[in-house]
Amino acid sequence: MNHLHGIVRSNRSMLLFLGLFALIAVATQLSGVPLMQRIVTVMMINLILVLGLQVFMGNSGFLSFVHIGFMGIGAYTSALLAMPVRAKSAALPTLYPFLADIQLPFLPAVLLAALVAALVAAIFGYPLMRLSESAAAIASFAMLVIIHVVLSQWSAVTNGPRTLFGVLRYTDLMTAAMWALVIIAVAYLFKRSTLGLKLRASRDNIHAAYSLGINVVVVRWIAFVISAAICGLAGALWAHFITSFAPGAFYLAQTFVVLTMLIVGGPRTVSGAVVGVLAVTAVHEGLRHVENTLNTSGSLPFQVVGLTEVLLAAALIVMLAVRPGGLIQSGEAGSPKARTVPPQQSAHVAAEEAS
Amino acid sequence: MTGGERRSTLAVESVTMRFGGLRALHEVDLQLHAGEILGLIGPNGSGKTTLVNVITGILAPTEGRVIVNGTVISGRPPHRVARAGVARTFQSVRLFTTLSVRENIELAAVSAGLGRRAARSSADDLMERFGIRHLAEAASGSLAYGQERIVEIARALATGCSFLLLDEPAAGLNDQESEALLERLKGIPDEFDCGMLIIDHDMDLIMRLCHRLHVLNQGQTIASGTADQIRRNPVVIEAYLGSQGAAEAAAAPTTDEEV
Repeated sequence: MNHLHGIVRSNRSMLLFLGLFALIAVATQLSGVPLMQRIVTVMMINLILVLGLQVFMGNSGFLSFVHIGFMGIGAYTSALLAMPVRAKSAALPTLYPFLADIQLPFLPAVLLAALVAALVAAIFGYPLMRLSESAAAIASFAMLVIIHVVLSQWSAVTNGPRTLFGVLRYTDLMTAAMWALVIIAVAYLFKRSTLGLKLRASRDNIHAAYSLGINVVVVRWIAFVISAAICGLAGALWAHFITSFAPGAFYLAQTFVVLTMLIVGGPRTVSGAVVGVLAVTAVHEGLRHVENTLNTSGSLPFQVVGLTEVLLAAALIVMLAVRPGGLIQSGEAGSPKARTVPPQQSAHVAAEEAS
Repeated sequence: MTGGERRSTLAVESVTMRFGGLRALHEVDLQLHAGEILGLIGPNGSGKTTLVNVITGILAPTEGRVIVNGTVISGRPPHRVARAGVARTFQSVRLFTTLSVRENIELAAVSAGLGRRAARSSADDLMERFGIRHLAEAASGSLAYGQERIVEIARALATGCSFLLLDEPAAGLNDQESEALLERLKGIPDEFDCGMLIIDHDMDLIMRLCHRLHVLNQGQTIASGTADQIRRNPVVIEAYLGSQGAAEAAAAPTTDEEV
């Protein structure tokens, strides 16, 4: 009983958000409103993406633009593996035979998608991990461009820049929610793991980390690969929810949304990432609703276009200026607070100085 | 203590370090044995920190080598030097500021190969030893300066190092704090079976703490020996006090230098 109490206490923040998201999923499911279900499903997938990004960015202190590329790799991998053979030959007539003739069930397709994204990250990510923070950020952007160009030009596999149709719909609200809960737990556990601790140490002070024998480049690289796998998984889930998509879905617009969620929420904490997804989704959907209402009511003599994006971008700028660490900057929401000034300390020092 | 021959030894062998045209170190030889405290002193810019950076792998020496128990470690990256048993603190304290004091120390033990549980209890022991147990849960970025210094030393020791290099551990401390630090440092070599090298400008602390001193000036060894020998060495006096002091010292020359 005491043991159980200890587990609950040290995982309070994680349990809080697991409960909250389970509740949101069940409530949305029961509401039976298709629009709500759609919004919440996409939110769950975005949550997985943002947490994937948090695992790397939050703990390493590096900025990455490439992760939406891994989402794209995951989406195409899973779509190709799980599409029915006949649909595949219609959509992608020039597809390589070894891919054209297989059809895997949902789960293996999703897991392989995560694996392929991880492999690409492992191979091409290593050199990035040796760079300084700002150089690595730019290099990751270059990597996103490369992935985008490959996805939009590799016609045999992706149908080029055109939309790929005929992907089976496997992902529903509950599937997405279940994976989101798993990844919430993964992100919390990673942060506390030995690897997460080493990574956070290297973020705080790289020379000190080296001086303790930590191979910073390797630690960063492993985190990068894990986070790519999570984003690949999110891409696969998204592909089987949307069912038809083009490479443009995995580029700047989506990168902006996901980075905004993470930075507004607070990249250093898992709870920050989670709260960022909730906040940005709410604002995003609210603004879109306002935009639609304005346009359909005819109260304005012109059409409002892009209001949502502009206001979100402005919100991001304001956030960076006012609260650069995000909504939840250091301590995880709901967990026992780290003490900044230990209570006995001041008395202790005073006593020492008096003596 | 094991016999002289079998003690672990860190040896710097004729190390030269050049930065372009600047020669920061010139053919420096130095030995540090387990169980001893060696003071590395010299005027500002004499190459003390450069030497520590060469030993810990942040810099690769232009010439010469660094050897730990027969294995050449110079040229290795810093994390592999650390794994060879060389730990250090920094001139400006470098803690992991978003981690708690316990996590800082625990991580060092984990990096040395301990499991999480063992690392945690090792961290607790070290905090007890250094009187910072009450700070365990505090964010290390919120500590007073003197406490930061102590945490950094405890963290370095948690790696289970054979050699501990302290770069100005007393800098920025008041007299009282320096005194307390001296008491805490004294017992370390015996207790942790390691050799300790200390750079500091607090001559009183250095003279009282160190078994041997090594004096650098403009990148070169100008003397090494016991505190008494160094104090009376005319070359050292000249380096510290200028030629006037040297002229006075020359009136009563001594030949203690044993480079």
